[in-house]
Amino acid sequence: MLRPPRLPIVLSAWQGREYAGAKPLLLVALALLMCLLLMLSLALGSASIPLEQIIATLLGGEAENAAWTNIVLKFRLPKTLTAMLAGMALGVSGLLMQTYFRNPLAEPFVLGVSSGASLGVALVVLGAGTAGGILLAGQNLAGDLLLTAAAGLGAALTMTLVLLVAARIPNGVTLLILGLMFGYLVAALVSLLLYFALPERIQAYINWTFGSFSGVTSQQLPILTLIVVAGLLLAAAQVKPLNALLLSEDYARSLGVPMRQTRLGIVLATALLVSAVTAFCGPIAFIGIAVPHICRGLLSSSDHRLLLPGTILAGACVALAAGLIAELPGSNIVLPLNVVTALMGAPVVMLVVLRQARGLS
Amino acid sequence: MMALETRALTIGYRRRRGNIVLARDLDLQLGRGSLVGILGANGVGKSTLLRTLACMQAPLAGQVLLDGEEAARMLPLDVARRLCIVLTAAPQASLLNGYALVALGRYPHSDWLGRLSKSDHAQVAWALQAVGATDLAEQRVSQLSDGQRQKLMIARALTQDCPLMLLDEPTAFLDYPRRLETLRLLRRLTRDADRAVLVCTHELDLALRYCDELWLMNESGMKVGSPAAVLRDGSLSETFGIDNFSFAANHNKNDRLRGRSYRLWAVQDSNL
Repeated sequence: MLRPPRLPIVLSAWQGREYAGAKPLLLVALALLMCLLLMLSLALGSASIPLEQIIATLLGGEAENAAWTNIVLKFRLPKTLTAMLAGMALGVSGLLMQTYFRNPLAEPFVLGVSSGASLGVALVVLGAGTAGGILLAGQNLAGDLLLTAAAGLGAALTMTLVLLVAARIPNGVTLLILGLMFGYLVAALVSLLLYFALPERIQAYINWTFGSFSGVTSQQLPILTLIVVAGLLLAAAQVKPLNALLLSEDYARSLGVPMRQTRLGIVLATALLVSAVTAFCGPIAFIGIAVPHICRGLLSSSDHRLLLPGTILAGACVALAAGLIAELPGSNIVLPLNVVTALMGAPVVMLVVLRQARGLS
Repeated sequence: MMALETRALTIGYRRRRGNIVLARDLDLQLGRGSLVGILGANGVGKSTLLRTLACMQAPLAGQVLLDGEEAARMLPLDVARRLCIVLTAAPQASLLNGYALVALGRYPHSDWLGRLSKSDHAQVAWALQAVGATDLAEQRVSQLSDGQRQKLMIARALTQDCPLMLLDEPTAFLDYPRRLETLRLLRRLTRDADRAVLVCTHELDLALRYCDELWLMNESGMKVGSPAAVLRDGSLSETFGIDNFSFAANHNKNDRLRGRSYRLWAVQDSNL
């Protein structure tokens, strides 16, 4: 329709210019870092295991020490994979929320999905009758399963609610406020339950809120993997609309983005990722808000074709590192995961944001 | 065929207790190669009209036709291939560079990842040259001035490759020389790239000077006419309906835009 460009244009001078200033090669560095952290996470812990022994075990052989094989396959591998999946899921859902709401403070939990999960857990731990109490007192497998189921159910119910709302309301801000208010509502209910609960039950609930990568067994791992991969694929399908959303919802619509479908896609992907992680690992704070900022700073780009793989890799890195530090390798102490993510993450985000602010002024 | 046509279009907002009607039964036409300005007082419904024409808002009644086809029956992507918009505020789009921002205009034409083909790159490069923003290609959008950003948004609209361009007060945040430049650019696009351009504006003098046709909106309805005609028959003064004010036109034979030599010379206030 437009007459062909009439000025002679040397195309080679223009191609790839949309990435000028960005640093896509850092994706490779992030991937390498992730592999390194993966190996470290398998090697370090209360007992350190030599790297070649781990590789031998992973390749199907036996380590010199039978206990080592057991530790790697039964404990460290599920924990490491869980950390990776959780980091990827939280990083990507944080990115989706920040772009969709066009708000740098948005995080995976703004939709209220994890609040729903915490209400489910609180009802089981604090409100259940003696049966639940006995199950939990033993800290046995059934108790863990019950917690996961309660969190999953709470998250799924909230997710359905959020999707129903998102399909009906026309804009993001309303959704954001509704999600936040829902969070406050649930927090109040949980406080109410805490207020009337027995002290040892309260302790059990608080333990859940600390978050942990080690609660997932090898039997549960495929379920977590399946949901997270589905969520990531759904997120990847939104890359192009997400880039259009950088302008504004009005501009995105004018570019032909089907807003209702896109909104539902973004919300469904986030809800899947967050509810899976919260059900299996508890409410892990901070990774979701920090990772997208770190990625934008590192890759120096807002383009989701770079940011999506970036947040997947960086999310995995951050979660692996947090898991490693929480174990305090060489000691028998394990710190609460949420303590580590915030202690480690907050300064990094501060640095990135300050550097950006300086660069802009 | 008209790039844009409306049939008995009634615009406004749906409310539970009766609709708010801003204008009714509009039969408007906009052809390629012409620059049309929508003028009217604040709150009269200029933006609502523009949003309705841009399919961002449903009409209360009537139809909007794009290239002769009913817009309400089109998919969002089909609409996006026929019309593009430029809004008042240019987005901050933090870490994109000028080139990436303009390339977003290729959205309706590119694959699922939004990858750019050779012809896409040619379009982007052409649009940047057309608006004179080639030097902004590698600069961060967040570091640009309002005027530069708005230029890029016009280039972005150009790369969308649509016959019709709708602009909602694109010059509101710009200084006078930049406003002049923008209107000149829009006029050039209608001539050189055969676009139909509809601009909603408060710049009376610029609109009188550069537009081919003016759509004047007031409570009693819509008045359509050339700048010379609406000046002559007093409908311009009527549209803005202020007592003791009058618009005077000056006829300048040496004006570069031949045939468009009416322009607003002064707003006279008889109270002074």
